Amino acid sequence: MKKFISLLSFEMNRFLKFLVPTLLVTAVVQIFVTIFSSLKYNNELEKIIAQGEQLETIPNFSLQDITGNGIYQLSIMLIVLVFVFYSFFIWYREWLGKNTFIYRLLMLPTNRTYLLLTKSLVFLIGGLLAFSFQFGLYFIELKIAEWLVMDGHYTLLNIHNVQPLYDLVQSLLFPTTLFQFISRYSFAFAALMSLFVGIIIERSFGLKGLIIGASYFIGFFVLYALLDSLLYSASFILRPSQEAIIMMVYQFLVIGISTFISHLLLKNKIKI
Amino acid sequence: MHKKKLLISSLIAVFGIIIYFVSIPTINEEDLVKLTVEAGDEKLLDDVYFNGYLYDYSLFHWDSYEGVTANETLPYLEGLDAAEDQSLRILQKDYPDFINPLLYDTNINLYYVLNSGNRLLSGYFENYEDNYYVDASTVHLNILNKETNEEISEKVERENYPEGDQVDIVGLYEEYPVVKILYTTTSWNSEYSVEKSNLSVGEYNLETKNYKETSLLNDNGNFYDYSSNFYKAKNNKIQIINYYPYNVYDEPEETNGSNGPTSYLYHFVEDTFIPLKDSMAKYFIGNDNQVFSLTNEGEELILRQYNQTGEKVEQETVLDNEFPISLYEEDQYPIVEVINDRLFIAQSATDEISDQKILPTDLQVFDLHSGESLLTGKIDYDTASEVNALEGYIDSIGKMSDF
Repeated sequence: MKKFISLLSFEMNRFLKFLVPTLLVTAVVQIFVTIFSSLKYNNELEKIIAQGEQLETIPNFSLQDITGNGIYQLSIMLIVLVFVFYSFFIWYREWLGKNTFIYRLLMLPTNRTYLLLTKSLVFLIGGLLAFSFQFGLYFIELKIAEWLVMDGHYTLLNIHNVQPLYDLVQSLLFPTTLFQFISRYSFAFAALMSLFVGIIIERSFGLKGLIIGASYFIGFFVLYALLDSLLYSASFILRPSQEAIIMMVYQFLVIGISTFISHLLLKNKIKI
Repeated sequence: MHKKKLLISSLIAVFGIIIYFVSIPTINEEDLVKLTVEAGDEKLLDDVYFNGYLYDYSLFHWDSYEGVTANETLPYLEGLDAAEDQSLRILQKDYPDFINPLLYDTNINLYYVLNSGNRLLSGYFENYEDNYYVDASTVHLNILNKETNEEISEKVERENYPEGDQVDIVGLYEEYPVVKILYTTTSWNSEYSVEKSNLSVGEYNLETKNYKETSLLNDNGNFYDYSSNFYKAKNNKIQIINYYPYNVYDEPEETNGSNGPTSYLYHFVEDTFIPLKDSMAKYFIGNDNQVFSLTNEGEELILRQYNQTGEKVEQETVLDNEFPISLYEEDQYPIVEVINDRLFIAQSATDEISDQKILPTDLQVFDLHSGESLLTGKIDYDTASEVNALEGYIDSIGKMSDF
């Protein structure tokens, strides 16, 4: 266990070197957009006052006016992109880096499966860290906007309603029920584990492995879509809740199967 | 010490998630929809329910027994299964085996439910197996005897049915062993908006298995059930069909024939189809097959009762309304329902000017014969800003004991 924690800590330190700067950039961008949008709204109000028009015709300002901003949304996408990039980088750096670090990792006097588990756990902790960080940012942004916008023209939203209506990216990332949270993030984790298997297959079997690995990774999404479509159009009747549970079971099955395959390959087949 | 970063990251992650879920507000349903009686006898609302939508949060249901219930406040999985229409929700509680296939079978296109005394009927079409287009050649009828729980399912092959892109049932009537079905078949143009519609009536005999279908009207535009409620229809001998001579997304100026009738009356027993003359009137059916209309004339709101063909006015009453009811304003949506010889009007509205306030729904109840005001009240929405709703409206009124 001690070795596992040490390895996890080692991986976490490496990941934080990417994640912390990304989160800081995100914070700077979002706070800039918050201040800029709030002041811009104030300027518009002042112009309208100067023109002698009725202020009642101007909708109140709220955080949804900020979170719907394109730059703001890009800053959230940046975090997602760093996670996507790092999911490849976390493995290939070990082989393609200066010192072929994988040799040392695989020779460690510990279970090789720890490698897979620590690398995947790092994403889980990192993902929740990014989630919490963004949630904290919402709180700060709500306060900044409330402080900056002219009195009487600011609608204070509940922190769980700060996303614009029907905004897909944010409503996907910030579900408001535990089931949705587990369902969405287990989908992402299952995709990550499929990718890890794909990479380990490629590292085990070379070019042939690349094709099999890529097929495994793509297969996760194809099967998901097929299963979803099958459940929707099946001749038997399923309730939407039953469909949702089956889809979640599929995701957990993929996580389990992927972990098992990776364990076997790391133990018996991986090439240095 | 070298594990400090891992420890801090893990703590932030865990506490962040805990705070996130703990901070999700517990919605107080009584703050979402609040009905206040300002004058009159509150007992008039006993056994009455209101269904509506709190935009963009949830559908809701209010009745004097349970108060407010909203789909979104249900546990997540329960909410996924909940019927979108609250009338269906009530039926689902009592007749799950009959209603569940309608709700959950994705192969079923739009369905129509008739709540007729001791029988419950549903009529629907299915989609083709290889695409999502509706198979108009077969209408499915299910009939449940509420007392014996016996269910009959019939697949009725339609011969010489009108061709179109979509077919909907807009009326059902049963007088055992005959079931009559009103269909509207619409054809779309290249931009998938409605171009032409056909209104037809089918008659099926459950004993002889004979079916015949007659076309009533072909025209440019759309035909709709006057109440737009497909899930709580009563076994009325008459049905009012509203006609919109243009696509609802087009500007009225672009239309043709807009001076024609906007409502028709179909009599299931007499088999008569009559245009209703007053194109400005809002026609509706009473609780005993009466034909009524409401019209704004100057400052007054006139209630007229017609004979069974809708051609002759039998009674005319000026309603003693406490606040203005506007039938023609675009930002006001009055709905009417007759329950126990009382006229219920719920008028919802949107704040078109500032788009900031959630306006309440005004509620008035009148005596159907004298026009006397019996109750005034209002329904306020999201009064504690719990869900930051933008709009609230009532889309149907009904009687609990009907179910």
